[in-house]
Amino acid sequence: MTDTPRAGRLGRRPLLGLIGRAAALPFAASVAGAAPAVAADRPPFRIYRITYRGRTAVEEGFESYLAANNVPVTYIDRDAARDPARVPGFVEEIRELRPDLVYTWGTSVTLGVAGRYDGPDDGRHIRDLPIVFALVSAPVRSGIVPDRAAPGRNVTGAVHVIPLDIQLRAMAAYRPFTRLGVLYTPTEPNSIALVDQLRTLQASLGFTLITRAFALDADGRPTVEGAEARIAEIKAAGADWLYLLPDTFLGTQYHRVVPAALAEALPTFGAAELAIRRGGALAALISRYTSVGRLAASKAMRILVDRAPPQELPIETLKRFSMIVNMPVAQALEIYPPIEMLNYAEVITK
Amino acid sequence: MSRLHFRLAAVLLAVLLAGLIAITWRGADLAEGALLPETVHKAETLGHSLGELTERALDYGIPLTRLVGVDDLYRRTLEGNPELAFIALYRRDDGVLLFAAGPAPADGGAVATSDTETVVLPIGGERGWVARLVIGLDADYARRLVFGLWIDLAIVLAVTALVALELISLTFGAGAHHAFEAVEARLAALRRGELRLFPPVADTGRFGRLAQRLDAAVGALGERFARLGDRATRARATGRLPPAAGRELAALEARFAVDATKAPAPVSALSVRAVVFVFMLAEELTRPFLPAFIRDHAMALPGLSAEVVISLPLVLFLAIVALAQPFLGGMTKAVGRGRALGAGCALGIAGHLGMSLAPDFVAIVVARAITAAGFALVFVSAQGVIIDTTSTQTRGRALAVFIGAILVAGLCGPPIGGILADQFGTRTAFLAAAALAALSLGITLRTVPRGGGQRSGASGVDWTVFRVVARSPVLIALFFGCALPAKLILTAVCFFLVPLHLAGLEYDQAVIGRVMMLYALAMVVLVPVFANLSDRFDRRVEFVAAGGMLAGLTAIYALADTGSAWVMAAMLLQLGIAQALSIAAQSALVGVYAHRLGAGVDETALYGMFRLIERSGSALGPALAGALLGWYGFDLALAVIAGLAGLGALGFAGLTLGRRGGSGAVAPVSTGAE
Repeated sequence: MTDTPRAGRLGRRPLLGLIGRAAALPFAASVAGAAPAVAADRPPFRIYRITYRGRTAVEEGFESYLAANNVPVTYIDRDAARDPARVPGFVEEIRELRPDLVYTWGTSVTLGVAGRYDGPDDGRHIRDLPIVFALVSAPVRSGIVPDRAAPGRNVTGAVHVIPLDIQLRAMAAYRPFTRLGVLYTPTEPNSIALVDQLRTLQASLGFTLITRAFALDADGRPTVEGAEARIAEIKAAGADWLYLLPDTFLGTQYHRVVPAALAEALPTFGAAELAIRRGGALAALISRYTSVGRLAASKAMRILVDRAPPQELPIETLKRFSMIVNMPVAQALEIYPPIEMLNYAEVITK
Repeated sequence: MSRLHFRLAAVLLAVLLAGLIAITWRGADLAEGALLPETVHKAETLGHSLGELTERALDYGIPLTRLVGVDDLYRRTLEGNPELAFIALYRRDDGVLLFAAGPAPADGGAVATSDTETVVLPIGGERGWVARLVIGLDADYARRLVFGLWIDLAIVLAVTALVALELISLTFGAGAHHAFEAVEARLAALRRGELRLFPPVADTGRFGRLAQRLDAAVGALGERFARLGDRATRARATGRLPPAAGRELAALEARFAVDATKAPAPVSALSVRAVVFVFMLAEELTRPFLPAFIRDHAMALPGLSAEVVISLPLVLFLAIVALAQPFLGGMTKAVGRGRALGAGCALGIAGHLGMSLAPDFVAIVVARAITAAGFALVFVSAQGVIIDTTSTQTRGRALAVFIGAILVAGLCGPPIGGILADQFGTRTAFLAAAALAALSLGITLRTVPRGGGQRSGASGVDWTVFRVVARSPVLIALFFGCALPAKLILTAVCFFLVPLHLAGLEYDQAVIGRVMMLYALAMVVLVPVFANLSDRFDRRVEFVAAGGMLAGLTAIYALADTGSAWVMAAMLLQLGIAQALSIAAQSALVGVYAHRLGAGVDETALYGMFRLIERSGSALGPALAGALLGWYGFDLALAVIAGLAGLGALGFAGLTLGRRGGSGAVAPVSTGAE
């Protein structure tokens, strides 16, 4: 198996290596069994953790990785409860407690604690303690660091977003395609960038992109009205799949969009876990939260135990991802996954 | 080889072979017995994992007939497991074939009556038994595997037998057995009614003394005959010899081969053969691992690609051997063949030792150059010893023995060297080669007289001969149409294109080794046979032309499936037969033409020129093949090179067959091994 995506057209085979089996860890070398480099009598490291919407599987993975490597840790847990306004208060507390490391969940918390790399040093952000983030999808675009390979500041971490071409290969592994439908929000820069990226992939991966945008209301805000008609157009144009982008507005409209696609017998593929867990998509390729947590913990361990400077630790994404198949939807569409996919995919049965 | 010697060798060999065959038989038998249960077991394991996956799909509610990617999965499973013939899934109720890869029976009911061995697994899932997974075993697979095993064992047998024969020759070459043989040879001559003298025997044992007494008796007879001859000459001078007496004397001389004046130098061709075998074995040992060793130590040279740098030491070796030979002929005669032979062996020791210790690429190049000089010296002086010590009647057989040694070394060396390098490392294998070279030096010092002091007429290559060649269309055709392409096709196709091509197709070393061996095998067996035949029937021109054309016909293999090792094997076998046909006859013809061209053409110098041109072909081969391979690919490169040989032979045949003449002396024969 290979860890890097191979170039080439979309077929069933090329992707399989990218999808982790249950036990496969991308950074297994430093998991259990590695000799602990920490003196037994050392007082535990103090990690100040800020979550955005309560405890998630990311924190579980983070803790289990450090525990398996015998790194003694005490956690100081804080939760922003979806309110970025709480973050400055945490920053104050961090200054008082001086923990060994700060852990942040998501882009808004991370930006609130670390600030932009090119922002003024006005004392509102932490710039002297190491910060490890998880669940930040675009650390460079959001201004947290100038470069993923060399952050150049006190911040490093784990990215959970799966490269677009790998998503497409996963889709082709389930069902080869020549036409790909996309419904996106024309006011979201992130979605526009993704659609542009898909356009550039057409030639190398050998497919045609069929795009439709959500309608905008009188205030210029996206509206779900007319979504059914647009999906019917996409189907009529011969789309083999409807790709559900990580589009914020689309994320709130799965209950309208996915049934419409199902009604048109158009299979849907999700870029976010919610698209399949709650939205009813046929299949999805995701980064497991526990794996993201482990990857972040591996960075924390390098900083705490090996004394590696965070500015030199590259920000990484997972190398293996999880395929999820929604079997009731597959039965409704009568589009079944290739039998071998059952060896590695998580199958939702109800 | 004398009859006694032959019988002893045959008995020893028979005992050895009987033992080896017994072990081989038992081994292959055990392997075959273990193979089938192992295959069945593997098919069952595979079947369980395929079946489990199918059942999982059924449990998820995927209908049996709507399973996706099953044919594809079966096909890939089949590709990864050559011992399986087919994989098929049949519906339980009606035996309908749902999914399959390979030649599966179309109906489930036919599986039971098919003569293919199968593994059958019921497939159920939660809702009970619904289908049957049938895996057919490929009966031919076990046969193919055992066949491969047999071929390997047969090669081991052949190599062992050949090495044993060489060892027998070596042990019989000197001492009491030599005396024994000497007596046998003398008695055989007497029985034929020949009263000729043999080289003196130094042995003081019973057989040695007997040989000396025989020599004394025959020698005395010879002297008396010589005195009689003198008296007859004087009588003829004074006119008092009756004509009848003169005729009687001449008849006696012819009838009994009485000749007191010629006593060949006391050297055994057999001992030279031992030296040559051991020395060449040292060089052949390095053949399997030398290119990789050079590659691992190659350095970047400005303006040269990596492939060219790697080929430098190999080309240098061939070039030194090719260019040195014409000069060495006279030189070794002047300093003494034995001395030159010893010096060559010593250079071989230094060269192999140097390779074993070489720290970098420059040292490797120097060490290979030294080995090349040693190789050329040993080859030329050993050939010289035989030419010096044999008459034109016995030279052919003596040279055949000499060439046999080189060919056997070429056959046995690579597999032994490969094993040594695998087990003990490349540098140790070079040490073993040095040790063999040292052994060849030891044999030289013990058994080969130093010789020397002989003034040689031609101490260097005689370029005036080139004018002779240039003026003779027949010589041009022989040299450039037959000799050069013969060596070129050897190094280009046999040593370069085929191994590279097969390695590129990911055949393993054992298969490539077997294929390559066929060429050497054909040569070992057929060179003496064809040498004899072409001498006996005096049809050297025809043999040379036929060999060249047969070699040229290998071009048609470019139209066949060149990806198959069998096709390559057939081609190399044909090439071996072709080369064996022409090689001995080619060099014999050089002597014939030298005589025919008459005064002013020095035979030795003509041979020197012949060898030079022949070996230029050797050196050109890899370079030409490499260029053609790069431009046109394997098939066309093969066709072009073989075509060259064929056209050359056609030209030669056209020029000569109209005015065929008799043959002359049997001449030094090239080996086709370097």
